Amino acid sequence: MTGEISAADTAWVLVSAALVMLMTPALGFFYGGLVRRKNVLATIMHSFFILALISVQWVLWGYSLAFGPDRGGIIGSLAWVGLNGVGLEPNPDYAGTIPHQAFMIYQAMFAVITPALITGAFAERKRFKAFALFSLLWATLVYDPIAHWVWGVGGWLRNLGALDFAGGTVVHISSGMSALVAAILLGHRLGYGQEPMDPHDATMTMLGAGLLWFGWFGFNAGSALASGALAVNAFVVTNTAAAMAALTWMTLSWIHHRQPSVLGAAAGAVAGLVAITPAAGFVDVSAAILIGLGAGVFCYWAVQLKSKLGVDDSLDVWGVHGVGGMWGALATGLFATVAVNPAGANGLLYGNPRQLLIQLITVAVVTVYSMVMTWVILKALDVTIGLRVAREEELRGLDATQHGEIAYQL
Amino acid sequence: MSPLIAVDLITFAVLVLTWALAPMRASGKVAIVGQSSAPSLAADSSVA
Repeated sequence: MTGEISAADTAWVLVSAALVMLMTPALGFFYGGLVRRKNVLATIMHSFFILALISVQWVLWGYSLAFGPDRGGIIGSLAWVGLNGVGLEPNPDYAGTIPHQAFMIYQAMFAVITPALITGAFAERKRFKAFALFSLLWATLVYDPIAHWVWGVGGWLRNLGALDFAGGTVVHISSGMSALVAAILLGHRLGYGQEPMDPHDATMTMLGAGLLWFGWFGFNAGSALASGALAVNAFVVTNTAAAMAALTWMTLSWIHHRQPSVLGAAAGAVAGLVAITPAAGFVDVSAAILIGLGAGVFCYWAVQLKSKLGVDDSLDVWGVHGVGGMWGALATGLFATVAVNPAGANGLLYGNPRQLLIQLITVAVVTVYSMVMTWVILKALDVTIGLRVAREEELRGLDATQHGEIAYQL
Repeated sequence: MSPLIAVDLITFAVLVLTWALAPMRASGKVAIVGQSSAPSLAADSSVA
């Protein structure tokens, strides 16, 4: 059965796909500014390479595993390998008013950015070869199954009633918790805690943060998969939560250190964007303000805790994406209302405590699976090809030793 | 007005009040970010 294609919906989803695509190089700028100048090219390359790598993986087999015909609620079949059967007619199971390939390429951009988020945890010390193989394995063995569980027709968490509008669990908890495992397994950078490791270009990070905020409108409002009222709601709550979290993080840093931090405002905005992601199509703007507030508070303290524990999650992927994703997923169970989206569910505050329990189960499952599988993949790579660059290479910098190029001729 | 909006208004007012009352270091010294640990988003936490 096929539906009629809507030109407006198709245009919106394609524009949204382009917006989400932009987020991955934006992430490269965001991370690139935070590392030392000897590693900036390698850090940007992590995101750019994944954009290319997963774009191919997705059309060859990733999309089929994530969204293909269900196999026992666990995984999609290989029926859609190479986009076999994924044509220009709508697939009403996912989006009845746009070509199936429009839905596919929109989802491709989510599959791209998720492993790119993890790269912040192992910045400045991972071998490019190990990074490339890890990204391909992680996308196939972690992202694709989780996407199927939560979003695929027949997926077991979707059938359980999990609400994840745009990827709080699928994208942010999976990447954030995997990042924690990666940071622990790779160990500290040389000199960590003993010498300055200042961001080499905070302006680059602010540019990246601004572009991420811009692209996130495609991420969340595009997830309505139609150019209608639900997309507008998602757009408004996304902007509101990002703004509130930026103000909150900046304020906490002001109280804590007697100056409002610029990088803190950027980090807060990203934390707010992360937290509103699962909720964007289920909550109203009054909830978005509190979700942004919570993101600012919880993620700020998570980042402080990480530093105290001595884990070198270099660019705070766990503190922002892992913790922010968890808060957002649980907040969806608190604040969701069918007044916003009749296809969703009410949360605890609207008389449905069961939804919060479902969200808790989803968070726990995605957390455990992501961490275990990431550990297995990294251990396998470590004993075969090795994860870290040599000491001399790390001291000289990854730009020169991994890529034979340097960023600045200054 | 819903209770959530009332909470929103109070929260925002507390933030603005904090800016008005928060102490402001004005030493002119440039903060060294990431001094003790990572070049990370926690950088604002390690300002000297």
